[in-house]
Amino acid sequence: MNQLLGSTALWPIEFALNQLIKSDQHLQSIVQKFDDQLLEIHTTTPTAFICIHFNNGIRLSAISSDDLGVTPTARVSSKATSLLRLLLTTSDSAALSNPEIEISGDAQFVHAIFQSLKNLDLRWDDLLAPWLGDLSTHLAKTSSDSIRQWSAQSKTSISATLSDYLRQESGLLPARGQLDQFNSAMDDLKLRIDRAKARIERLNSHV
Amino acid sequence: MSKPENSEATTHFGYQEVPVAEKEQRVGDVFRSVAARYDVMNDIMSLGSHRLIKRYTIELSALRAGHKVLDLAGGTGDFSLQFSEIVGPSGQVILADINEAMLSVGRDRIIDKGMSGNIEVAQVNAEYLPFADNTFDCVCIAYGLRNVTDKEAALKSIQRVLKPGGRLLILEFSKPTNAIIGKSYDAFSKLWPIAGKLITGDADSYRYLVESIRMHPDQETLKQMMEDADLINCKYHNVMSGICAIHIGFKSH
Repeated sequence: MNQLLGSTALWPIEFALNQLIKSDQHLQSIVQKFDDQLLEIHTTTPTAFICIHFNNGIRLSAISSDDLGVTPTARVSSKATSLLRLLLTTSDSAALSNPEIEISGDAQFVHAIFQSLKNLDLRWDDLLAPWLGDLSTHLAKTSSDSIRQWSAQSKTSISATLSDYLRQESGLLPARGQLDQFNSAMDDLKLRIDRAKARIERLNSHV
Repeated sequence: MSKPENSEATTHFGYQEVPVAEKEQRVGDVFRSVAARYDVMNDIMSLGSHRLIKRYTIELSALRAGHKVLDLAGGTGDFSLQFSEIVGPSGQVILADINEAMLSVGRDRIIDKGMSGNIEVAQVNAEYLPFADNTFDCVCIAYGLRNVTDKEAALKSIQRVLKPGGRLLILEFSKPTNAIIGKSYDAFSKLWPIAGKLITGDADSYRYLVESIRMHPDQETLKQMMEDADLINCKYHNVMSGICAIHIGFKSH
């Protein structure tokens, strides 16, 4: 029953993705590169499972490859947050080197998918235009751009103001230079303690 | 339940016992009568859920590009159209049904959608499949097996045409595992002949449908029948508490 519910939930997502792929030649060429490959993704917190089959587009399934009796090209297991963070990272090899993400099977395939997702240049206004009309889409696009710009500016401004307040006005946080100096002194102290411990052990072994 | 007076072998047609030779013709008449409105009635009787169940069945088929599929008792071509997209131009789908009226609706639909490239249409009897041994990667029979006169012969015939490692999918009404759901479903299905009368003008065909569901083997019996037909790793997935079940079996390598 869970599989049926999963399958039902994935249906509209699959439909939307395939419409997107059909409408974008660049995206089509990217997806075609992975034709006949199967990627299984397991996430913890929240626990979820999805099987992505690249075959004349994308097919999403809630049935595991074990249940289907097929071998996936690769399996990825991770926390959902780690996978989302992966999409925001700038590192090229983050998918392969992140210890929180477990990959089995063809790692090169996972790396290629990760690279393709990072390099996606989706223009949602082009997709909406046939449905909403040019004028409405333009208004939606300009509104969205303004909101995004305002959010980014507000975030930077609030962050700077808060940081200044905590340091200068309330004195709760030290200045950056002070913090670096303290960290450096701590590292130095830790090193000296380690050396002292090593020397004591050496002396004990002589006694 | 009425018994025929002669002594020849009989089988069930809904709740009636009829001579074996007669069942095929009677089932044919039922489907000739409902063919034109078959899909509309499916939506009404299942409240649209048959689309979700079909999608789930297709996922379980694990088909890939280049595969060859037999959509047995495929009728109006619902499955064939979706199989066609998955197997792509390098694969092939055979839409097969014993009933020419259902096939005609299916063929027209396929042509109208411009998807006849990799779909062939064939009028066949599931008990004597006219295909070479080891032909198909997958055989799917959805809501069709209960209408077959000799189910054992059909399963053996399907096993023969499957490739080694190929899979058989049987989607069929089954026995609800939950008593409350079972009772509700029984009550709901009593409305089908009424809906059939209103929409297709034929209540008898839908009365047969309800009766044939009751007479169909339960999950475990059908699984055993598949194993008896030399299919291996047979299992089933109950759908909606067993109102439907999807049986899967494989031909050994």
